[in-house]
Amino acid sequence: MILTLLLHQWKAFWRSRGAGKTLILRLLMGLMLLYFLAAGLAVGLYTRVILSHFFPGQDAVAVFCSLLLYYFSIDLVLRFLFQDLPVLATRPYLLLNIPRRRLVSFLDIRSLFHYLNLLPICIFFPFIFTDIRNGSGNIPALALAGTVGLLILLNHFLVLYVKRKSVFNGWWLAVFVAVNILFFVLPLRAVSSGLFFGILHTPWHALIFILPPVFVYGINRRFLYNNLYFEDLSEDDSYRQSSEYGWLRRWGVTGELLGLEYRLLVRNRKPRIYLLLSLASLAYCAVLTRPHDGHPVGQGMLFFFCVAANYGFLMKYGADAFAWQSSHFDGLLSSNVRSRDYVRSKFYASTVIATCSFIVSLSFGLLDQRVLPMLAAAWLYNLGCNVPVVAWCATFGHKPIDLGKGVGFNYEGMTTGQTWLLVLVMGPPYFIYLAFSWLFGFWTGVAAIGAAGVLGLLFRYWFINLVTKEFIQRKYLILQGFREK
Amino acid sequence: MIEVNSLVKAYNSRPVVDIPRLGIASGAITGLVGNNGAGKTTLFRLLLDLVRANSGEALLKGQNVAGAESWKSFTAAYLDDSFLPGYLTPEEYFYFTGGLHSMPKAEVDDGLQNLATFLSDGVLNSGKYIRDLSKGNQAKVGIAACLLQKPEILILDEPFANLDPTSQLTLVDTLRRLSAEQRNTILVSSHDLNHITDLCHRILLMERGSIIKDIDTTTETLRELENYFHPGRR
Repeated sequence: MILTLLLHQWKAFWRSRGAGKTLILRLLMGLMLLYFLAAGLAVGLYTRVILSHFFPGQDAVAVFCSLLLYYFSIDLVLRFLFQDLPVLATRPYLLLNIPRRRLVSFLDIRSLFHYLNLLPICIFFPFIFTDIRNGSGNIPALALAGTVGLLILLNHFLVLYVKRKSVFNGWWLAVFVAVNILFFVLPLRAVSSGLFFGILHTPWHALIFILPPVFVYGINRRFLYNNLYFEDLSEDDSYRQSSEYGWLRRWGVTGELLGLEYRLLVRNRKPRIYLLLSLASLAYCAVLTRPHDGHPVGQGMLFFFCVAANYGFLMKYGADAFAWQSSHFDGLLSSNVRSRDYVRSKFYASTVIATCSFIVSLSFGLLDQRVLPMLAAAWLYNLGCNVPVVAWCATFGHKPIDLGKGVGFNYEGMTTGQTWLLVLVMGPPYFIYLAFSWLFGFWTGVAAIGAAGVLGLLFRYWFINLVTKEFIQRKYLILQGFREK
Repeated sequence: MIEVNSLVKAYNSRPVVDIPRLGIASGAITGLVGNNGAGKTTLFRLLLDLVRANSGEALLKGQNVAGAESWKSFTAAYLDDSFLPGYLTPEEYFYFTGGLHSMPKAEVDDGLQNLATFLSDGVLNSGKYIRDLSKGNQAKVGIAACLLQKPEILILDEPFANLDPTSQLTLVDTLRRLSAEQRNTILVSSHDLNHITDLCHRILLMERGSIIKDIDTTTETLRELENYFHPGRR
């Protein structure tokens, strides 16, 4: 049965109309993942060398144990950002003679095939099964490996659960992020050291670690089982008030389009969730700029976080700038909207979003005033350069977005295309910064980023024309893609 | 008003639309009939520049739709619910489309007043987003938005499907009036032979992408069409 479902997914993948085009991108992605796994494996094989380099004179096993929890705290963040919820269009299957628990099992099992589950195995198991086994014996090594495995499962299902829950209620997300942030403030090394060193000495303690993943798996399963029918749990049928933004009318068609855009962002579940996710990553960035174990974060790192914090929502929004409206794209393009006005409205919307991110990220300044000029530079670069780059990239996207669907939000969200966009958006400023700060010092690097942004702003008119041209050229492809629901 | 010259659209070298010549005069109501897959919707999409033609051209008021965009100011169309932003209330959508034509709010309100019978209950002041409306009400919103724009060229794909009887009949009347009083050019497709023969001055019968019959409607037309779609039926 599960095999049949897998087969259906396989067919769905190959028979989707864009299969050929995305295949190359996917292959490249696959290579990238292989690279990461290989890097993880290398870290695993040379753990002793690496640890003795960074922690000279300390016992490698002790350091290893003290760092494990760090990994799993960061792992939670990574999973949060990259782990997708497996979705199966369950509706066609619900009426068929398939037990519901089968469908649930299918979703659970499928979700396990993820590189974030493989990565820790690559990193930790080599060291556990060589050095630790030689030092402590077979049983403790197995116990430690088992604990690592159970923690992987715990994180895996915990993130799935929280993501599923937060689809219906944003507070889940907020609490999760808050707790996660708390981890980094706690004396994590001492706890980790005590925990895993303890297991090496009394291996049967590892059995306790069976309970949490089983519990989380259980509630996850129950939640799925109960909610397989409903995509719209929280949809209330309260009276929907029409709203008016009369002042937007001053800008004519562009104003109308911006009003449309605003309503799109606040009235649909998916963009709302993106908004929450971006706020969450902002919070992570804020925490990571704090000193760790008494070591202040370097200027370069600080700048990186400022830039990352500013990009979040713009990227999420901009990468799908056109796809957001995929459900009514036919209508939009045959209504009285010129392509240039449409593209320009996207530019304006992106500008507003980038500016909002900037204002929110100014709160970083409360922690460390050095970041204010860095944030300003990142903001200028965003306005000048990233807004056009992201809009240009959006003209390549022809995968529709289902605005209402929340359960699969991340599945549709982080596409391969977006990953490449990340490279385009983060790469150039990084090189500009690197070149200038290397030649003339750190603050010149920051200023260069800001200057690049101003330069981009000066060319905005030209950029809008360019993207419009590209948009017109590819609009039939986009239209065709968006019609595939 | 509408002109088509050797227009061909093919998928995998199978032609879905292949029309050597077609001209539709202004003020005429033209009906398009044909079984599923005959190419009606694709023809509409070609006329609206929503798909790229393999060859040939479609002209609205003498303007090639591909490339140009000014035809958008005098053309309105509703093909299916992929024309509607589901996250707006009907009113917001009406004001939005009105705004795209620089219509003041009061003018939109006036227009809605005239469409009150067509929209009937359940659309205006429903307190729902368009996505939460029934299929029929969604169609009403889409069609009404087109009518509000007072377009010189109006294109509707199966406007009668999903509509309740009252709205169907009001729509027939409204379209007739538009063509008679304002000389608007109207192109509709439908599977409802009664309505289409009742409404249209001229009927185009499509089969496998081609227009195989071009009929000026008479009292015999309904019989003729029934004969085509179900030969041998008495």
